[in-house]
Amino acid sequence: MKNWKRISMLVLATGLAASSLAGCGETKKPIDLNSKTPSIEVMTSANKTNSPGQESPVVQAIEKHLGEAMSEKYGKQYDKVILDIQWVVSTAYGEKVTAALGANEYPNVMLVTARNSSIIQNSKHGTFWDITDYFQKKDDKFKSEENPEGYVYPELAKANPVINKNISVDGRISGIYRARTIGRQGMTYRRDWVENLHKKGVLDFDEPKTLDDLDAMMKAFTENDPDGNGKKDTYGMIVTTFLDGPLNNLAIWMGSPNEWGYDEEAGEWKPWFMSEGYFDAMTKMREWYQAKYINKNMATMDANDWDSEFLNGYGGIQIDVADRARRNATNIAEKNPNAVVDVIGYVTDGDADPRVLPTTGYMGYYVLPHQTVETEEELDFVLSVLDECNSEEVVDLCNYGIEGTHYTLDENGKAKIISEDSLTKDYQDLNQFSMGLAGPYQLTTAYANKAAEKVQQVYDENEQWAVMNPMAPYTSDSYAMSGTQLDAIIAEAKTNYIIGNLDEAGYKKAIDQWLKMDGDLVCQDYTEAYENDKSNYKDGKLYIPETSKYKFRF
Amino acid sequence: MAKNAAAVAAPTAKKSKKWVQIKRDKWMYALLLPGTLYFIIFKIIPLWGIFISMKTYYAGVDFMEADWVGLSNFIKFFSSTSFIMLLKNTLIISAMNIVFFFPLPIILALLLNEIRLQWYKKALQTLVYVPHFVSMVVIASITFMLLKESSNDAQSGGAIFELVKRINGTGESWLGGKVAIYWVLLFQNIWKESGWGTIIFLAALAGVDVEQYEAAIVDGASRLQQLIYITVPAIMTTVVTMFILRMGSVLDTGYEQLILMQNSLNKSSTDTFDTYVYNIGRVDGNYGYSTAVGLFKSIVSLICIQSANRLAKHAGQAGLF
Repeated sequence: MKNWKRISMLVLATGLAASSLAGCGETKKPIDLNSKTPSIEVMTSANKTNSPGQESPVVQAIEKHLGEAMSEKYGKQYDKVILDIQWVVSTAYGEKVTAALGANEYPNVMLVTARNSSIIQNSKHGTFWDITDYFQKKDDKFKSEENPEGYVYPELAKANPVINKNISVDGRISGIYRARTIGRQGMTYRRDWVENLHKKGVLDFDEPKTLDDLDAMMKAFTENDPDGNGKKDTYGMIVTTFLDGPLNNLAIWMGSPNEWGYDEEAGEWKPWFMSEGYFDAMTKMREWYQAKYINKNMATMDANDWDSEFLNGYGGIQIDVADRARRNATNIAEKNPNAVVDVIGYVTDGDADPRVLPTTGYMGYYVLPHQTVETEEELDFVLSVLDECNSEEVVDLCNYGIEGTHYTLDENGKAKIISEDSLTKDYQDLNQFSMGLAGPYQLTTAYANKAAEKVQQVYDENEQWAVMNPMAPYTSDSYAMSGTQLDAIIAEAKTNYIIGNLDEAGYKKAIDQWLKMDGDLVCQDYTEAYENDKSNYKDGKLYIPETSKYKFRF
Repeated sequence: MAKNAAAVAAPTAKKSKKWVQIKRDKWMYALLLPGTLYFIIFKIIPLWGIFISMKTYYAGVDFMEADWVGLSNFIKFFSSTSFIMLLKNTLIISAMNIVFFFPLPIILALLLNEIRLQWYKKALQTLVYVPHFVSMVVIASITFMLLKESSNDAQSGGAIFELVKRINGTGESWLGGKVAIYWVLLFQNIWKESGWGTIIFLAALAGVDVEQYEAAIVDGASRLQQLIYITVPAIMTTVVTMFILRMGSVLDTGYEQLILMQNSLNKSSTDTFDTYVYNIGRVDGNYGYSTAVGLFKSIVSLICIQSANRLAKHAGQAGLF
């Protein structure tokens, strides 16, 4: 009996010791190119908790398609290419990437969502493949009717160079980005109000084109009873605590740089809120606020109330992402069937060229770690698979599922999604995996309303007028460390200047405070990053394009 | 055991006395092994990682390749704007917990101790433990449901939000308030942990000599007098020990609760050293800098625990070491 006790004690003790020693080393097998079913492990972000795996017919269809395409390209029989997708919930994604970097254990293809210093350091240190020269790589044997240039990766060749610049480090690209609409911003407004006022003779247009038009619209929406109910119960623009939505757009329209501009007089880079254009936009909003063209509770109104204020017919203009128009056009019909919601991408400053605030154009990018993609041959294969993932067929599968099962085509050739949970779960989140960088693609769903069609037009037109942020490829450690505080100082100053609590001197004081509280280090970080980027040199001299040069007030 | 030891000891008389002792108590040492290994593997060996704080080291980059920067990470941290904000927030949250939360388990334990109905006492004790086992995520969701604001006049917000609104007329933003959020955090802690915290004090109370009470009753002491002159002094050592340990974690606010309750409105008052280290280290992968911040925290904790211990000894209490 006693012996048993001892033995069990010993077992317990050694067991505990052993379990604390046991590591969790999972070795990654390389991609087996000789197999008929090579497998590629992809780590990407998921919005849902039950994202599809191997059991999904859509995933199977994609794998089969990839197998066929690879067989054709390499002249070797592949039954399928297994996409072993590791879904990670998007809210914890950054942490997961850092954990992979820290442990030096990677999937074959890894999505990187945040461009922080550790990603940039890893790109510089060659943790990931440098694929800059593969995008436009050509080989005569691939020349065909659809591919006259003979690109080795014809879909990757369609990547937007501006976005590739945004994800570059020292001008080198180490990833394939997930494309997002560049020209997403726009102004949503009540078209029926403008038309009413046009009929009354207050306004002389149906669609605003210039800043003066916008000015007139703000005034008329507030003072001239645009909804014709005989009461003065409407106002121009709805502004919420998310002031940056309206303000940043207006600033770009009025000639501010996007985030960073070069002050030629001072010979240094400065943030946009110090520029002439940005200050003009704030002053414009200050005038509007004083004239009550903007809701008086703009400093405290929650951004969640933005739409209800619009739908209830209190305010007539929202400046934010253009897709607000699509949603609000649908929702306003229930409350007011006569309401017409329309959207424009920008107004111009007089006769000047349009200027539009773009997004960065991407939402993370896929990197290929040297650790798990070992040889040139494997890299070629993985790139070919990712290239094929950007083909029309695979993108359609990712977005809509299988034709006939998950969607049908209507008479106009638009996809009609069969929205049943048992069906949508087969392909939900695959659009998160998809890169879609060769878009626009043919297959779309039918527009929900007229505004939705206009939203698409705005997207397309905005792109050519986008004012790109010259510092988009760079990051600042000082900002990562003190950003919360720095942003708070400026956000508060902007709001207070617009609602009249601060004058210009007060705003200047806030900027001085920003500079003193590490803002100067942020400027320094970006300046250095720009100067250290070899791709910014021409003929051995640092090159700053004319489009990055601006006038600064502070 | 003794027979065994003698049998083993006899033929190996040449070996030192210590070895004999170890041999005799080998099972005891075997039991000690896991604990020792735990401390060596998880606490001692990782200490070399302190060097990370003196490098510009990012996750994934070769550690040997990273540049030595001396104390520049520390200097950067102390001179950054965030330092004051983080220190302020950490101290506010911590001080509120020490002032309002720390005494509660003691009071609760004393109250429970006074209950004479055994089954009722047991049932109550079990009930107050329950919240400890509820995940912080669940508690955060419950808090959101109770305190959320109405998005417009047509809809109603959370129950407590509506109640307060009826009473004082204006809806107060608890979750977005820069000060209100501190009370929310404190209340969550109290609800979750004060029941669980009573365990150690109840154990101390169980050890109080019953004869003292009997003697006091003979001397005509009232219930309150018994409490003040017998019970409280009896558990004072435990209280002081717990307090010293608590002082060691003055800068520990944890990050789980804070990150769950954080939003853009209250971020500037809920960012603490712990959330900062999490964001810069775990999310952004800037290991060098975040290790420096973490190390700073450990040093302050060491100082706090030492001075609390000195103070306790100075005041005539036993202290911790």
